[in-house]
Amino acid sequence: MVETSHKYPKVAKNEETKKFWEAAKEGKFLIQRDKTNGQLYWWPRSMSPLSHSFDTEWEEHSGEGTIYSWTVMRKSPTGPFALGYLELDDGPRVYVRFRDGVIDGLEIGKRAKIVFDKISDDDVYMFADLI
Amino acid sequence: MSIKRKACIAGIYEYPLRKCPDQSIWQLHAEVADGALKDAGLSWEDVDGYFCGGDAPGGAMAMADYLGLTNQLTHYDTTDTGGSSYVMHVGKMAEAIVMGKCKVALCTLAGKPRTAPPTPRVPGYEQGFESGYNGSPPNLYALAAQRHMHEFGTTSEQLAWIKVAASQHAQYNKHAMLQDVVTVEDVLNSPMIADPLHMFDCCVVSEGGGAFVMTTPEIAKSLGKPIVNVLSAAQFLKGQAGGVGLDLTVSGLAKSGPMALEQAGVTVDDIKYASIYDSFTITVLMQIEDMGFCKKGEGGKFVQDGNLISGQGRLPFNTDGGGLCNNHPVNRGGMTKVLEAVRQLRGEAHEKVQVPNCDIALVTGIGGTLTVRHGSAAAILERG
Repeated sequence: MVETSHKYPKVAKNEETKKFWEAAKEGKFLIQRDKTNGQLYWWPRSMSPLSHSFDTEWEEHSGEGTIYSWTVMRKSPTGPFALGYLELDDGPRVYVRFRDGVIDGLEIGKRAKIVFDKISDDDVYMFADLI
Repeated sequence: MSIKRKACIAGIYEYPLRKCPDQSIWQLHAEVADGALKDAGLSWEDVDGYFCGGDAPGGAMAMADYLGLTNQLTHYDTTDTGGSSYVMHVGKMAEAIVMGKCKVALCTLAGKPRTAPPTPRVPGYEQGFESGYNGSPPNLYALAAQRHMHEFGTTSEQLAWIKVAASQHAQYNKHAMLQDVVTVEDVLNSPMIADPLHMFDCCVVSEGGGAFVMTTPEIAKSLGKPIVNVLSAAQFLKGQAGGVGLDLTVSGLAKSGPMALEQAGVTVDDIKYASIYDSFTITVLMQIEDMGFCKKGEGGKFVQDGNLISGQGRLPFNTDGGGLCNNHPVNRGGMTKVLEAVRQLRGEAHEKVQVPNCDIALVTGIGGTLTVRHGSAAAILERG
């Protein structure tokens, strides 16, 4: 976990995502599986967007995957930053911001993983980093 | 039930300014509405349907009250899928007219993003997982461009040709925000905004707005203006869908486009002119593929070498200069797309860019973001 270099907004949480953010504080990446078809989906929520079944379960995932797409935003008052999509191993494609400072060496197909960084006394937020 | 040839766009108006420090947002809505009604030869008293998007503060109820319409509207509709809302309204207005809910439908768009930035859309459930990332149109559309390049070998030079074509058209539009002709090299030499998109791959940020009026064929014929029929309109929503099988190289137009063609009873070969939503060059390229003008992955080849330039290429597009050069009011390009298609069908485009014998035109919209979620819309219009 690294301290972030600039301010992020307070993380919007709700009853459905409370468990995710509690695990995130311990550095664990939780994701939900749709038990009717066995697939992982993103974002966590009580009803699967794939089958519309409420028969879902939480599980811990390594957060590892490959970069599906990326960009570096050059025009930013807080300095350049990178966004991307991470295709999780055996899982969905997840929209994510790369950890502060990670703007070089990004390529489609490269390995990367989900990380959680402290953005305030109360919150961690989800980012990605190269492995 | 079909809307085909059962409603006509009778009046259009585009605000002439691109910076409006002295007008209020509401005043701009009033002025563009007044302009479109005058163009049609209709009066405010005739309006019984009002349609707007999220740019109208407070939506249809509040804006209609400001406009002095609340005691005469039998139909009203606030739809907000960003810039595609006004292309969707082509269908919604026609449907309302066909269903007899109104006879004279007015749609307005106006705002001043440079001097009075619009309130951001209220986020949905995704807020916790997206809102902190500072994703914005340039960087989110860049993610689609990057993937498209990776999968299909699309190049920055090919994307640049889209801006080049828009600039060729904009030189003849005295109201266009950017009137200088640019080259492929100029685009590649413009500053990188979000890899792989350069500044000239991005649309302008402009103020002002526009409006159009739709009515029944009977009323339209009585007005003495060239008739513009609505043939079809379709919409399709694309989002993350749980992230499973998410493909960033395809837009929702891959569904709504063919639906609009089928309902109109035409093919892409019949389209003489296209207003293609051009928030970014990549938006245009992907929609050309998704409409079926070429195969997926071949958009780069299709747009290069001036194939989108009027009088020169197969598919004259955005002959007003589009959002890339002319106008993208309130960060919403759907309205101006409808307006230029109507000008082309009336034969009222600038003589240097008017498509000869322009009888069928396509209008498309991608509102929201190409990457995370968007409302796509396609409408097909015909010279009556």
